[in-house]
Amino acid sequence: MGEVAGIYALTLFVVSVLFAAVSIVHAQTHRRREQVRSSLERCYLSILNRRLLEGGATVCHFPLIERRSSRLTLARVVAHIGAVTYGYDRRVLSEVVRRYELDKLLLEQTRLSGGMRRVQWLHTLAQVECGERTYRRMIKRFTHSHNRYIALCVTLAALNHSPERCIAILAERERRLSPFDLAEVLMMLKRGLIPVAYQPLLRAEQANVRLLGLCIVRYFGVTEAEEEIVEAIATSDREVAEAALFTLCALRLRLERGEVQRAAERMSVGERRAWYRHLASEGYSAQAIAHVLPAEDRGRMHDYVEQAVASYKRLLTN
Amino acid sequence: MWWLSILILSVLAVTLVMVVTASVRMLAAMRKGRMLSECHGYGSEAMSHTGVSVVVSGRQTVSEIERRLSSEYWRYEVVVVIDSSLDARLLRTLCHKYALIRVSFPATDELPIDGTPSLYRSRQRRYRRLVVVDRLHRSRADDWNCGTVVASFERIVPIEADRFLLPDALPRWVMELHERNEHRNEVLSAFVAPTHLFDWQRVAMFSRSAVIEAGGFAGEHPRRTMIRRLRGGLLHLPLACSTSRHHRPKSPLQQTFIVLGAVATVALFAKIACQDWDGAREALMLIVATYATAFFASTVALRTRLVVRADHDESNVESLRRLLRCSFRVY
Repeated sequence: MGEVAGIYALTLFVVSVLFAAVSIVHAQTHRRREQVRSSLERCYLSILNRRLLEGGATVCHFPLIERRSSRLTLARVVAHIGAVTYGYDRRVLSEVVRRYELDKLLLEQTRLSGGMRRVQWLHTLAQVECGERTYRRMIKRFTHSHNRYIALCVTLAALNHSPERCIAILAERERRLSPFDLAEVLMMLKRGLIPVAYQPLLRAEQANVRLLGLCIVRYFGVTEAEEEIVEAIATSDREVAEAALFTLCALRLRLERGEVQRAAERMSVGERRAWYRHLASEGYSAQAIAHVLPAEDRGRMHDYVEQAVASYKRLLTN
Repeated sequence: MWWLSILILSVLAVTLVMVVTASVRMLAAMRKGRMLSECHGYGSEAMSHTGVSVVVSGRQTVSEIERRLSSEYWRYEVVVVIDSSLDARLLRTLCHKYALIRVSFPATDELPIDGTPSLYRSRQRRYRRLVVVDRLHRSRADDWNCGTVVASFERIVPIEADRFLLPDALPRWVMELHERNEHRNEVLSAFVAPTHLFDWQRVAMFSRSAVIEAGGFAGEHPRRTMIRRLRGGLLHLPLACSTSRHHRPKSPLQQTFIVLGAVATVALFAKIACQDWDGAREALMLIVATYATAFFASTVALRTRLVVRADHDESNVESLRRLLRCSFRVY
């Protein structure tokens, strides 16, 4: 047994020393690469910004672009500019992507990496204007992925590639859109890539499309969509109904409707209490909330609602 | 002697596997955080669907309260539970600085609360995320129960006065909650930094209704008790930090190695006393094996630390010193 312990200890010592050395060298290399990358990023960003401001058909020249890592940095810069800029000339960035074949490079990088790094590269790829062939290859390869982030990237890439098919793309999506997914789609919408037409979204049959519609209405404060929101509250889909209720409150719209009361009846006691507290914090009066109390709540919840509302108002006694 | 050797070697092997697993999980969580930070929708108003109330108990300064208010998450409030009988000036300063007015405390039967707490909210919209509860301090659990009653949102994070949420904590927490199905997770806990691979210090995000159903916080370790009672998961990443040193317990990993090393040392001396040189050699090898495992665990911890803190400018010499310090600390 002593020999076994000895071999075990010796092996671990050797492995530890090697592992520590590799870790330190790797950290050092990584740090150096990051420094170079951030300098290159600044340089590329300034070149592209200048080019976007000046316009025209002159060709951009990027230093050290022959390196693969530099081209990847350029791809990230292009994706970043595309993500945070509104109303820019898309042809300039498309030209850069086409000239340096950044889309192909990103797809290759996606194939080489795994886990979250793959998602990171795929997200970058979804934000640049990729060519038809690369897009097809990407869709073919990743469209049936079980990873929710990869599925989101595929949706984003499809929306970026053909924004006019926005409703169809979201309707075809099997996985339900989470709040984070909606936020990412909304970012594209803010950049002006997807047309803001909330009515067809709210009237659609598919839950994902309706969720996006409600998100748009809430985010942009579209009070004109009152009727559509009330219709969404009456739907049998629990998530859509909840989002519609939340939107109605966020827009401070009138609560006295049969649909709202029926939605309240469908909730559990805990959920209903949470909703009443939410209404109180949004500034609704006790009288307004009393209108939506289901019959079973009128006695026992009345005091709860009144106290919740009163706890937001100045105490005149004492 | 052979059964002791097998036992020690088995424990060492299991510890080794656990260390590597913990490190891999932590690194994966960190990589995910980096990926998310590059997404522009992350942390935006559109994803702030779930509201979070942070309930803080204990003595704190105005600057500490201000630090808590600076989170960029949208639907968020801080319920500060203070005792003005201990520090009347703090309440006066808060009332003056944040234009607080006294409002009625909701007298509900949701949770049992001792005494008559006073509730303060700001009359200015910009400070509406600050809620102050003034009550006689009895226990941490009582303060948290009091904060839970006045919390506006469905998710609550009870913390002590010397703990602060990290800047990115709330969006990440809420995001993980949505990913794991919000309705099924009554609690989702995370680590407190500075962390090690077997950290027992936690912060947790609870569902308000689940806490109320469970009868509220109670006991000397209210958070730990509640985490055990409710269903939920653990995030393998630090989401809060602690400013005080005394909260940091000894690492269980460190304790394991100390116990194993001590057992092997006792066996060594016993064998030497019996003049059984073969047995002594075996015991010595076990001590070396324990030390080697500790050294490997330290290396894995170093690797994790280097990757997590890649943005920090740390030289090679400093890294080596850290490794040596790490491995020295085990004994």
